[in-house]
Amino acid sequence: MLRGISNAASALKAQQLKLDITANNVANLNSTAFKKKEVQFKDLLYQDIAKRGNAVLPGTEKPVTAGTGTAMSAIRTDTRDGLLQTTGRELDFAIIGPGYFCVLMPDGTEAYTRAGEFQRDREGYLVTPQGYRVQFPQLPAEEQELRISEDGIITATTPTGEVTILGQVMLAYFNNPAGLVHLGGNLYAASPASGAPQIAQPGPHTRIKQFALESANVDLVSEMTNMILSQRNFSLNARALQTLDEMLQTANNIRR
Amino acid sequence: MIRGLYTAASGMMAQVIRQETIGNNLANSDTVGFKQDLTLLQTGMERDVVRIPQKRLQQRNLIGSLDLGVLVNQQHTSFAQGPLQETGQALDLAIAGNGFFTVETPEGIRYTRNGAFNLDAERFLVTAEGYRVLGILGPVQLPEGEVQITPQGQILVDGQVIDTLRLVDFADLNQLQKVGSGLWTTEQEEIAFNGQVQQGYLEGANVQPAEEMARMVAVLRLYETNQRVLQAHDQLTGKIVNEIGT
Repeated sequence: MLRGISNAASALKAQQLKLDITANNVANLNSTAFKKKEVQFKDLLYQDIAKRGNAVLPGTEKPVTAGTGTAMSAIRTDTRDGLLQTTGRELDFAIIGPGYFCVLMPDGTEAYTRAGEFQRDREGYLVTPQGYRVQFPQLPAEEQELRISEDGIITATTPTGEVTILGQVMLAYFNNPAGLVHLGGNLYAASPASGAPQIAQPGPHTRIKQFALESANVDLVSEMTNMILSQRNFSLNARALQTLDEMLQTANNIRR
Repeated sequence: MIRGLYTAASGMMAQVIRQETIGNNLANSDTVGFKQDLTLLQTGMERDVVRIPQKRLQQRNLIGSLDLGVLVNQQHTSFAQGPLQETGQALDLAIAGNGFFTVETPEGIRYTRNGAFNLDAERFLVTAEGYRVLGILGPVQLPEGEVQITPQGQILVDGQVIDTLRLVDFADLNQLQKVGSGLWTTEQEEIAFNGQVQQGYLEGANVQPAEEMARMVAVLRLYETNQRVLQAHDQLTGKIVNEIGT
Protein backbone atom coordinates (compact mmCIF):
# COMPACT_ATOMS: atom_id res chain seq x y z
CA MET A 1 0.00 0.00 0.00
CA LEU A 2 2.67 2.49 1.05
CA ARG A 3 4.68 1.46 -2.01
CA GLY A 4 1.88 2.83 -4.17
CA ILE A 5 1.92 6.10 -2.30
CA SER A 6 5.63 6.57 -2.88
CA ASN A 7 5.12 5.68 -6.58
CA ALA A 8 2.66 8.54 -6.91
CA ALA A 9 4.85 10.85 -4.85
CA SER A 10 7.86 10.14 -7.08
CA ALA A 11 5.79 11.15 -10.10
CA LEU A 12 4.59 14.36 -8.45
CA LYS A 13 8.19 15.29 -7.72
CA ALA A 14 9.24 14.42 -11.26
CA GLN A 15 6.53 16.56 -12.84
CA GLN A 16 7.38 19.45 -10.57
CA LEU A 17 10.97 19.23 -11.77
CA LYS A 18 9.83 19.17 -15.37
CA LEU A 19 7.80 22.29 -14.75
CA ASP A 20 10.85 23.99 -13.19
CA ILE A 21 12.90 23.20 -16.30
CA THR A 22 10.14 24.50 -18.57
CA ALA A 23 9.90 27.69 -16.52
CA ASN A 24 13.66 28.19 -16.79
CA ASN A 25 13.55 27.70 -20.56
CA VAL A 26 10.75 30.22 -20.96
CA ALA A 27 12.49 32.69 -18.62
CA ASN A 28 15.58 32.53 -20.84
CA LEU A 29 13.71 33.07 -24.07
CA ASN A 30 15.66 36.29 -24.62
CA SER A 31 19.05 35.18 -23.26
CA THR A 32 21.73 35.25 -25.92
CA ALA A 33 22.77 31.77 -27.11
CA PHE A 34 20.80 30.06 -24.33
CA LYS A 35 20.43 26.32 -24.90
CA LYS A 36 17.17 24.86 -23.77
CA LYS A 37 17.10 21.99 -21.32
CA GLU A 38 14.89 18.99 -21.28
CA VAL A 39 14.35 16.48 -18.52
CA GLN A 40 14.17 12.74 -19.11
CA PHE A 41 12.58 10.23 -16.80
CA LYS A 42 13.13 6.54 -16.22
CA ASP A 43 11.27 3.78 -14.46
CA LEU A 44 12.89 2.50 -11.28
CA LEU A 45 13.75 -0.95 -10.05
CA TYR A 46 11.18 -3.71 -10.09
CA GLN A 47 10.59 -5.62 -6.87
CA ASP A 48 9.63 -9.25 -6.66
CA ILE A 49 6.30 -8.96 -4.85
CA ALA A 50 6.20 -12.60 -3.75
CA LYS A 51 9.24 -11.86 -1.61
CA ARG A 52 7.29 -9.04 -0.05
CA GLY A 53 4.78 -11.56 1.24
CA ASN A 54 2.07 -11.11 -1.34
CA ALA A 55 -0.09 -13.98 -2.52
CA VAL A 56 1.34 -14.93 -5.90
CA LEU A 57 0.49 -17.94 -8.02
CA PRO A 58 3.28 -20.40 -7.33
CA GLY A 59 5.44 -21.70 -10.17
CA THR A 60 5.16 -18.73 -12.51
CA GLU A 61 7.77 -18.63 -15.26
CA LYS A 62 9.16 -15.25 -14.34
CA PRO A 63 8.97 -13.42 -11.01
CA VAL A 64 5.92 -11.21 -10.54
CA THR A 65 7.29 -7.74 -10.01
CA ALA A 66 5.93 -4.33 -9.15
CA GLY A 67 7.47 -1.08 -10.25
CA THR A 68 8.67 1.52 -7.79
CA GLY A 69 7.82 4.76 -9.55
CA THR A 70 9.77 7.18 -11.65
CA ALA A 71 12.84 9.39 -11.33
CA MET A 72 14.79 11.83 -13.39
CA SER A 73 17.42 10.09 -15.51
CA ALA A 74 19.00 13.11 -17.18
CA ILE A 75 18.61 16.77 -17.89
CA ARG A 76 19.62 17.08 -21.49
CA THR A 77 20.87 20.23 -23.09
CA ASP A 78 19.67 20.77 -26.61
CA THR A 79 22.85 21.99 -28.29
CA ARG A 80 21.25 22.89 -31.59
CA ASP A 81 21.87 26.41 -32.91
CA GLY A 82 19.46 29.20 -32.11
CA LEU A 83 18.33 31.63 -34.77
CA LEU A 84 20.72 34.39 -35.81
CA GLN A 85 19.74 37.91 -34.97
CA THR A 86 21.43 40.72 -36.84
CA THR A 87 22.38 43.50 -34.45
CA GLY A 88 24.73 45.63 -36.58
CA ARG A 89 27.07 46.06 -33.63
CA GLU A 90 30.74 45.63 -34.47
CA LEU A 91 31.61 43.55 -31.41
CA ASP A 92 28.72 41.10 -31.67
CA PHE A 93 29.68 37.65 -32.88
CA ALA A 94 27.65 34.54 -33.47
CA ILE A 95 28.92 31.01 -34.06
CA ILE A 96 27.11 28.97 -36.69
CA GLY A 97 27.66 25.28 -36.07
CA PRO A 98 29.52 23.71 -33.13
CA GLY A 99 32.22 25.53 -31.16
CA TYR A 100 32.67 27.95 -28.26
CA PHE A 101 34.61 31.13 -27.58
CA CYS A 102 37.17 30.69 -24.80
CA VAL A 103 36.91 33.02 -21.82
CA LEU A 104 39.52 33.46 -19.12
CA MET A 105 37.91 33.45 -15.69
CA PRO A 106 39.27 35.60 -12.81
CA ASP A 107 40.46 32.41 -11.04
CA GLY A 108 42.63 31.46 -14.02
CA THR A 109 40.41 28.66 -15.33
CA GLU A 110 38.89 28.65 -18.76
CA ALA A 111 35.19 28.95 -19.48
CA TYR A 112 33.37 28.69 -22.78
CA THR A 113 30.55 30.71 -24.26
CA ARG A 114 28.57 31.08 -27.44
CA ALA A 115 27.13 34.44 -26.44
CA GLY A 116 29.35 36.75 -28.46
CA GLU A 117 28.07 40.05 -27.07
CA PHE A 118 31.52 41.38 -26.28
CA GLN A 119 32.87 44.74 -25.21
CA ARG A 120 36.26 46.37 -25.34
CA ASP A 121 38.12 46.94 -22.08
CA ARG A 122 40.62 49.73 -21.26
CA GLU A 123 43.56 47.84 -22.73
CA GLY A 124 41.82 46.94 -25.96
CA TYR A 125 40.90 43.36 -25.08
CA LEU A 126 37.50 41.86 -25.72
CA VAL A 127 35.53 41.06 -22.59
CA THR A 128 32.20 39.39 -21.83
CA PRO A 129 29.44 41.51 -20.22
CA GLN A 130 30.78 40.31 -16.83
CA GLY A 131 34.23 41.71 -17.70
CA TYR A 132 36.01 38.38 -18.26
CA ARG A 133 38.59 38.42 -21.02
CA VAL A 134 37.88 36.53 -24.23
CA GLN A 135 40.78 34.70 -25.93
CA PHE A 136 41.02 37.16 -28.75
CA PRO A 137 43.88 39.22 -30.17
CA GLN A 138 44.40 42.69 -28.68
CA LEU A 139 42.43 45.27 -30.62
CA PRO A 140 43.92 48.50 -31.98
CA ALA A 141 42.57 52.01 -31.31
CA GLU A 142 38.84 52.67 -31.53
CA GLU A 143 38.68 54.44 -34.88
CA GLN A 144 39.87 51.40 -36.83
CA GLU A 145 37.25 49.26 -38.46
CA LEU A 146 37.26 45.71 -37.19
CA ARG A 147 36.27 42.80 -39.41
CA ILE A 148 36.23 39.09 -38.79
CA SER A 149 35.97 36.59 -41.61
CA GLU A 150 33.81 33.47 -41.39
CA ASP A 151 36.88 31.35 -40.70
CA GLY A 152 37.97 33.63 -37.86
CA ILE A 153 40.65 35.87 -39.33
CA ILE A 154 40.49 39.35 -37.74
CA THR A 155 41.53 42.39 -39.69
CA ALA A 156 41.57 46.07 -38.79
CA THR A 157 41.25 48.85 -41.34
CA THR A 158 42.44 52.37 -40.52
CA PRO A 159 40.41 55.38 -41.75
CA THR A 160 43.07 55.82 -44.44
CA GLY A 161 42.47 52.33 -45.77
CA GLU A 162 45.45 50.41 -44.35
CA VAL A 163 44.59 46.82 -43.54
CA THR A 164 46.39 44.89 -40.80
CA ILE A 165 45.76 41.25 -39.93
CA LEU A 166 45.43 41.00 -36.16
CA GLY A 167 45.24 37.26 -35.83
CA GLN A 168 43.04 34.23 -35.80
CA VAL A 169 40.18 33.44 -33.43
CA MET A 170 40.43 29.94 -32.08
CA LEU A 171 37.33 28.12 -30.90
CA ALA A 172 36.92 25.29 -28.42
CA TYR A 173 35.20 22.10 -29.59
CA PHE A 174 33.87 19.31 -27.42
CA ASN A 175 33.07 15.68 -28.13
CA ASN A 176 29.86 16.01 -26.15
CA PRO A 177 28.87 19.68 -25.79
CA ALA A 178 25.67 18.61 -24.00
CA GLY A 179 27.89 17.48 -21.12
CA LEU A 180 29.28 20.96 -20.42
CA VAL A 181 28.56 22.35 -16.97
CA HIS A 182 26.47 25.49 -16.99
CA LEU A 183 28.10 28.18 -14.85
CA GLY A 184 25.36 30.75 -15.37
CA GLY A 185 25.83 34.02 -17.20
CA ASN A 186 25.99 32.14 -20.55
CA LEU A 187 29.27 30.54 -19.49
CA TYR A 188 30.06 26.84 -19.53
CA ALA A 189 32.91 24.79 -18.10
CA ALA A 190 34.38 21.51 -19.37
CA SER A 191 33.48 18.36 -17.42
CA PRO A 192 34.34 14.65 -17.62
CA ALA A 193 31.08 14.20 -19.55
CA SER A 194 31.95 16.78 -22.19
CA GLY A 195 35.56 15.71 -22.64
CA ALA A 196 38.55 18.05 -22.84
CA PRO A 197 38.29 21.04 -25.18
CA GLN A 198 39.96 20.79 -28.58
CA ILE A 199 41.13 24.21 -29.66
CA ALA A 200 40.96 24.73 -33.41
CA GLN A 201 40.14 27.26 -36.09
CA PRO A 202 36.52 27.53 -37.17
CA GLY A 203 36.29 24.25 -39.05
CA PRO A 204 34.37 22.88 -41.98
CA HIS A 205 31.12 22.77 -39.98
CA THR A 206 31.60 26.07 -38.16
CA ARG A 207 31.52 29.71 -39.25
CA ILE A 208 31.75 32.96 -37.30
CA LYS A 209 29.39 35.77 -38.11
CA GLN A 210 30.03 39.35 -37.10
CA PHE A 211 27.22 41.91 -36.47
CA ALA A 212 24.94 39.14 -35.27
CA LEU A 213 24.05 37.27 -32.10
CA GLU A 214 22.69 33.78 -31.62
CA SER A 215 19.31 33.84 -29.92
CA ALA A 216 18.03 31.21 -27.48
CA ASN A 217 16.93 27.95 -29.10
CA VAL A 218 13.78 27.87 -26.97
CA ASP A 219 10.57 27.14 -28.83
CA LEU A 220 7.72 28.75 -26.94
CA VAL A 221 5.02 26.51 -28.42
CA SER A 222 6.67 23.27 -27.35
CA GLU A 223 7.43 24.73 -23.91
CA MET A 224 3.76 25.59 -23.48
CA THR A 225 2.77 22.09 -24.59
CA ASN A 226 5.22 20.65 -22.07
CA MET A 227 3.71 22.82 -19.37
CA ILE A 228 0.20 21.55 -20.07
CA LEU A 229 1.48 17.98 -20.14
CA SER A 230 3.23 18.31 -16.77
CA GLN A 231 0.16 19.89 -15.26
CA ARG A 232 -2.11 17.06 -16.44
CA ASN A 233 0.38 14.41 -15.45
CA PHE A 234 0.62 15.99 -12.04
CA SER A 235 -3.15 15.87 -11.49
CA LEU A 236 -3.31 12.29 -12.79
CA ASN A 237 -0.75 11.16 -10.23
CA ALA A 238 -2.35 13.24 -7.51
CA ARG A 239 -5.53 11.29 -8.28
CA ALA A 240 -3.66 8.00 -7.89
CA LEU A 241 -2.44 9.21 -4.51
CA GLN A 242 -5.97 10.20 -3.52
CA THR A 243 -7.31 6.77 -4.51
CA LEU A 244 -4.72 5.09 -2.33
CA ASP A 245 -5.67 7.41 0.48
CA GLU A 246 -9.30 6.39 0.13
CA MET A 247 -8.27 2.73 0.10
CA LEU A 248 -6.33 3.22 3.31
CA GLN A 249 -9.35 4.88 4.84
CA THR A 250 -11.51 1.96 3.78
CA ALA A 251 -9.06 -0.42 5.44
CA ASN A 252 -9.14 1.70 8.57
CA ASN A 253 -12.92 1.48 8.66
CA ILE A 254 -13.11 -2.32 8.60
CA ARG A 255 -13.63 -2.35 12.34
CA ARG A 256 -15.70 0.54 13.58
CA MET B 1 -16.99 -18.61 8.49
CA ILE B 2 -13.53 -17.43 9.42
CA ARG B 3 -12.26 -18.71 6.05
CA GLY B 4 -14.44 -16.11 4.35
CA LEU B 5 -12.77 -13.40 6.37
CA TYR B 6 -9.43 -14.32 4.79
CA THR B 7 -10.96 -14.65 1.33
CA ALA B 8 -12.19 -11.05 1.55
CA ALA B 9 -8.81 -9.91 2.86
CA SER B 10 -7.00 -11.59 -0.04
CA GLY B 11 -9.33 -9.70 -2.38
CA MET B 12 -8.38 -6.44 -0.74
CA MET B 13 -4.67 -7.24 -0.95
CA ALA B 14 -4.92 -8.11 -4.63
CA GLN B 15 -6.56 -4.74 -5.35
CA VAL B 16 -3.69 -2.99 -3.58
CA ILE B 17 -1.22 -4.67 -5.96
CA ARG B 18 -3.35 -3.65 -8.94
CA GLN B 19 -3.36 -0.06 -7.66
CA GLU B 20 0.43 -0.16 -7.26
CA THR B 21 0.77 -1.22 -10.88
CA ILE B 22 -1.63 1.49 -12.06
CA GLY B 23 0.30 4.01 -9.96
CA ASN B 24 3.57 2.89 -11.54
CA ASN B 25 2.07 3.16 -15.03
CA LEU B 26 0.78 6.67 -14.34
CA ALA B 27 4.07 7.69 -12.71
CA ASN B 28 5.85 6.61 -15.88
CA SER B 29 3.41 8.12 -18.36
CA ASP B 30 6.17 10.61 -19.21
CA THR B 31 8.99 8.04 -19.47
CA VAL B 32 10.36 7.49 -22.96
CA GLY B 33 9.95 3.91 -24.18
CA PHE B 34 7.94 2.80 -21.13
CA LYS B 35 5.48 -0.07 -21.61
CA GLN B 36 2.51 -0.34 -19.31
CA ASP B 37 1.88 -3.32 -17.05
CA LEU B 38 -1.37 -4.99 -16.22
CA THR B 39 -1.73 -7.09 -13.09
CA LEU B 40 -3.55 -10.31 -13.87
CA LEU B 41 -5.36 -12.02 -11.04
CA GLN B 42 -6.46 -15.60 -10.70
CA THR B 43 -8.67 -17.51 -8.32
CA GLY B 44 -6.43 -19.33 -6.00
CA MET B 45 -6.13 -21.59 -3.00
CA GLU B 46 -8.70 -23.97 -4.41
CA ARG B 47 -9.86 -26.56 -1.92
CA ASP B 48 -11.98 -29.65 -2.41
CA VAL B 49 -15.12 -29.71 -0.35
CA VAL B 50 -15.67 -33.18 0.97
CA ARG B 51 -18.68 -34.61 2.75
CA ILE B 52 -17.60 -36.85 5.55
CA PRO B 53 -19.74 -39.96 5.35
CA GLN B 54 -21.00 -41.28 8.60
CA LYS B 55 -19.90 -44.87 8.20
CA ARG B 56 -16.73 -44.97 6.16
CA LEU B 57 -14.46 -42.12 7.09
CA GLN B 58 -11.74 -43.27 4.64
CA GLN B 59 -13.84 -42.70 1.53
CA ARG B 60 -13.62 -39.19 0.17
CA ASN B 61 -16.99 -38.03 -0.97
CA LEU B 62 -16.32 -35.03 -3.17
CA ILE B 63 -19.01 -32.35 -3.34
CA GLY B 64 -17.11 -29.79 -5.37
CA SER B 65 -14.41 -27.22 -4.98
CA LEU B 66 -14.23 -23.92 -3.20
CA ASP B 67 -11.89 -21.04 -3.95
CA LEU B 68 -10.59 -19.35 -0.90
CA GLY B 69 -9.18 -16.18 -2.37
CA VAL B 70 -7.31 -14.58 -5.18
CA LEU B 71 -3.69 -14.72 -6.27
CA VAL B 72 -1.58 -12.54 -8.51
CA ASN B 73 -0.99 -14.51 -11.70
CA GLN B 74 1.44 -12.26 -13.55
CA GLN B 75 2.37 -8.76 -14.52
CA HIS B 76 1.51 -8.63 -18.17
CA THR B 77 3.43 -6.00 -20.11
CA SER B 78 1.65 -4.52 -23.09
CA PHE B 79 4.13 -4.00 -25.90
CA ALA B 80 1.69 -1.90 -27.90
CA GLN B 81 3.30 0.93 -29.84
CA GLY B 82 3.67 4.20 -27.95
CA PRO B 83 3.13 7.52 -29.73
CA LEU B 84 6.12 8.82 -31.71
CA GLN B 85 7.04 12.34 -30.70
CA GLU B 86 9.20 14.52 -32.90
CA THR B 87 12.26 16.04 -31.26
CA GLY B 88 14.39 16.80 -34.32
CA GLN B 89 17.57 15.70 -32.52
CA ALA B 90 19.83 13.51 -34.65
CA LEU B 91 20.54 11.05 -31.84
CA ASP B 92 16.92 10.56 -30.78
CA LEU B 93 15.70 7.27 -32.17
CA ALA B 94 12.34 5.56 -31.95
CA ILE B 95 11.34 2.09 -33.07
CA ALA B 96 8.12 1.84 -35.04
CA GLY B 97 6.92 -1.74 -34.77
CA ASN B 98 8.49 -4.51 -32.72
CA GLY B 99 12.08 -4.68 -31.62
CA PHE B 100 14.65 -3.34 -29.20
CA PHE B 101 17.95 -1.50 -29.09
CA THR B 102 20.79 -3.40 -27.45
CA VAL B 103 22.90 -1.73 -24.75
CA GLU B 104 25.90 -2.86 -22.78
CA THR B 105 25.58 -2.53 -19.00
CA PRO B 106 27.93 -3.67 -16.24
CA GLU B 107 25.44 -6.52 -15.60
CA GLY B 108 25.50 -7.68 -19.21
CA ILE B 109 23.50 -7.02 -22.32
CA ARG B 110 20.12 -5.36 -21.86
CA TYR B 111 17.40 -4.35 -24.28
CA THR B 112 15.56 -1.04 -24.43
CA ARG B 113 13.02 0.93 -26.46
CA ASN B 114 14.23 4.24 -25.05
CA GLY B 115 16.21 5.73 -27.93
CA ALA B 116 17.08 9.07 -26.30
CA PHE B 117 20.79 8.65 -26.92
CA ASN B 118 23.70 11.04 -26.38
CA LEU B 119 27.40 11.06 -27.00
CA ASP B 120 29.84 10.62 -24.16
CA ALA B 121 33.25 12.30 -23.81
CA GLU B 122 34.78 9.70 -26.17
CA ARG B 123 31.99 10.11 -28.73
CA PHE B 124 30.43 6.73 -27.93
CA LEU B 125 26.67 6.55 -28.36
CA VAL B 126 25.23 6.16 -24.84
CA THR B 127 21.89 6.05 -23.04
CA ALA B 128 20.93 8.61 -20.39
CA GLU B 129 22.55 6.31 -17.79
CA GLY B 130 25.77 6.25 -19.78
CA TYR B 131 25.44 2.64 -21.03
CA ARG B 132 26.95 2.16 -24.46
CA VAL B 133 24.65 1.36 -27.34
CA LEU B 134 25.72 -1.65 -29.35
CA GLY B 135 26.08 -1.95 -33.08
CA ILE B 136 26.86 -5.09 -35.03
CA LEU B 137 30.59 -4.33 -34.60
CA GLY B 138 30.40 -3.46 -30.89
CA PRO B 139 29.81 -0.17 -29.06
CA VAL B 140 28.96 2.57 -31.55
CA GLN B 141 31.52 5.38 -31.74
CA LEU B 142 30.68 8.30 -33.99
CA PRO B 143 33.19 10.51 -35.77
CA GLU B 144 32.34 14.18 -36.16
CA GLY B 145 29.84 15.02 -38.86
CA GLU B 146 26.21 14.80 -39.74
CA VAL B 147 24.65 11.61 -38.41
CA GLN B 148 22.01 9.82 -40.42
CA ILE B 149 20.30 6.63 -39.36
CA THR B 150 18.29 4.61 -41.83
CA PRO B 151 15.05 2.79 -40.90
CA GLN B 152 17.05 -0.48 -40.89
CA GLY B 153 19.47 0.98 -38.33
CA GLN B 154 22.42 1.68 -40.60
CA ILE B 155 24.50 4.57 -39.20
CA LEU B 156 25.96 7.02 -41.70
CA VAL B 157 28.18 9.95 -40.79
CA ASP B 158 28.58 12.47 -43.63
CA GLY B 159 27.36 9.75 -46.00
CA GLN B 160 29.90 7.15 -44.83
CA VAL B 161 28.58 3.89 -43.36
CA ILE B 162 29.99 3.51 -39.82
CA ASP B 163 28.07 0.59 -38.38
CA THR B 164 24.58 -0.84 -38.07
CA LEU B 165 22.65 -0.69 -34.80
CA ARG B 166 22.16 -4.07 -33.19
CA LEU B 167 18.39 -4.22 -33.36
CA VAL B 168 16.73 -7.35 -32.10
CA ASP B 169 13.36 -8.88 -31.49
CA PHE B 170 12.13 -11.86 -29.50
CA ALA B 171 9.72 -14.70 -30.17
CA ASP B 172 8.00 -14.50 -26.77
CA LEU B 173 7.78 -10.95 -25.42
CA ASN B 174 6.06 -12.27 -22.29
CA GLN B 175 9.38 -13.71 -21.13
CA LEU B 176 11.06 -10.30 -21.01
CA GLN B 177 11.77 -9.11 -17.50
CA LYS B 178 11.83 -5.40 -16.65
CA VAL B 179 14.89 -4.33 -14.68
CA GLY B 180 14.24 -0.57 -14.42
CA SER B 181 15.68 2.41 -16.31
CA GLY B 182 13.69 1.28 -19.35
CA LEU B 183 15.79 -1.88 -19.70
CA TRP B 184 14.72 -5.47 -20.19
CA THR B 185 16.54 -8.73 -19.83
CA THR B 186 15.80 -12.20 -21.17
CA GLU B 187 17.48 -15.54 -21.72
CA GLN B 188 15.84 -15.98 -25.09
CA GLU B 189 17.53 -16.13 -28.46
CA GLU B 190 17.48 -12.87 -30.38
CA ILE B 191 15.52 -13.05 -33.61
CA ALA B 192 15.56 -10.80 -36.68
CA PHE B 193 14.29 -7.26 -36.32
CA ASN B 194 11.51 -6.19 -38.63
CA GLY B 195 10.54 -2.80 -37.22
CA GLN B 196 11.72 0.57 -38.42
CA VAL B 197 14.01 3.09 -36.77
CA GLN B 198 12.83 6.68 -36.96
CA GLN B 199 15.51 9.28 -36.49
CA GLY B 200 14.57 12.52 -34.71
CA TYR B 201 11.70 10.90 -32.85
CA LEU B 202 11.18 9.41 -29.41
CA GLU B 203 8.58 6.83 -28.48
CA GLY B 204 6.39 8.03 -25.63
CA ALA B 205 5.01 5.71 -22.97
CA ASN B 206 2.07 3.60 -24.15
CA VAL B 207 0.11 4.38 -20.98
CA GLN B 208 -3.52 5.32 -21.65
CA PRO B 209 -4.54 7.74 -18.87
CA ALA B 210 -8.28 7.22 -19.40
CA GLU B 211 -7.92 3.45 -19.23
CA GLU B 212 -5.84 3.69 -16.06
CA MET B 213 -8.35 6.06 -14.45
CA ALA B 214 -11.18 3.65 -15.22
CA ARG B 215 -9.16 0.81 -13.76
CA MET B 216 -8.42 2.91 -10.71
CA VAL B 217 -12.14 3.52 -10.11
CA ALA B 218 -12.78 -0.22 -10.42
CA VAL B 219 -9.94 -0.99 -8.01
CA LEU B 220 -11.24 1.43 -5.42
CA ARG B 221 -14.78 0.08 -5.56
CA LEU B 222 -13.70 -3.56 -5.53
CA TYR B 223 -11.56 -2.78 -2.53
CA GLU B 224 -14.59 -1.29 -0.78
CA THR B 225 -16.76 -4.24 -1.76
CA ASN B 226 -14.27 -6.67 -0.30
CA GLN B 227 -14.14 -4.56 2.82
CA ARG B 228 -17.95 -4.85 3.09
CA VAL B 229 -17.76 -8.61 2.73
CA LEU B 230 -15.19 -8.66 5.48
CA GLN B 231 -17.46 -6.54 7.65
CA ALA B 232 -20.43 -8.80 6.94
CA HIS B 233 -18.37 -11.76 8.18
CA ASP B 234 -17.49 -9.78 11.25
CA GLN B 235 -21.11 -8.92 11.95
CA LEU B 236 -22.17 -12.52 11.38
CA THR B 237 -19.55 -13.74 13.83
CA GLY B 238 -20.71 -11.05 16.25
CA LYS B 239 -24.28 -12.32 16.04
CA ILE B 240 -23.18 -15.90 16.71
CA VAL B 241 -21.16 -14.84 19.68
CA ASN B 242 -23.62 -12.44 21.20
CA GLU B 243 -27.13 -13.44 20.13
CA ILE B 244 -27.34 -17.22 19.82
CA GLY B 245 -28.19 -18.78 23.12
CA THR B 246 -28.96 -15.61 24.99
